[in-house]
Amino acid sequence: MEFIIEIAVYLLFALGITLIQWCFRHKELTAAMIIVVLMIIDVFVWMKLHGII
Amino acid sequence: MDDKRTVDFEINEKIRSDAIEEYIDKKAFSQTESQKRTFKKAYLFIIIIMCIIALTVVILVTSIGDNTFAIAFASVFALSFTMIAVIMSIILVKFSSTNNVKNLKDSLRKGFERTTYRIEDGYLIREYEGDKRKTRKYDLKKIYYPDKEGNIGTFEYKNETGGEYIDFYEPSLYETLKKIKEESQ
Repeated sequence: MEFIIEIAVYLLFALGITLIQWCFRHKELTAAMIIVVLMIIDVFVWMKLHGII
Repeated sequence: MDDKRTVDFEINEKIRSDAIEEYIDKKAFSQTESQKRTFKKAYLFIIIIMCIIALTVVILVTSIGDNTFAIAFASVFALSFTMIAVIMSIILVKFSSTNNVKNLKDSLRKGFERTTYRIEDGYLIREYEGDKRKTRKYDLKKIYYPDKEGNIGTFEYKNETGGEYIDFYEPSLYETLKKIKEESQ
């Protein structure tokens, strides 16, 4: 089960990168900022899963 | 019609049609921009509500058992939930504004097509097809064209209470004003 969660974390990060690229192309800075925050939380989840924090 | 500004009616046809298009573009742009701002506020509100729901789920799940898996599961759920909300709001803002520009331009063009002008007993009468309440009467003696600033798309109307500037990008009014000039000569 933890493996599935880890894959979901990676997928969310990849989705975030794609969305940020799209947002910059379409000048949607508010949405880009929200996505950046979500990606930072995603990194924290990844660290939690690996026992770093 | 003794004001010398009323003499110059020589408008290039291309400039006039460009003026109509420019007017439609400007009006559609300003209106969709304000709508877009309202939409953005509404979608931001939706995102915040979804974040609160996601946070509640996180708190509930983490309170069940204090283990890494529960925290990670709840966080991933919350993240996915919020990410979907962001994607949805972006799509909705984009789609609504694209459709609005098209619809607005169409309705403005329709408005131009429905408005007709005619001269009767020394008055310029504006009629809007299908809505008699929009009928207006302008005393020809009080119409000055172009307006003080020299705008070709506006005529100045002076009455007892002051005056007003009226946009007349409608082609039929241009023809009517041309006729006034010919008749006055």
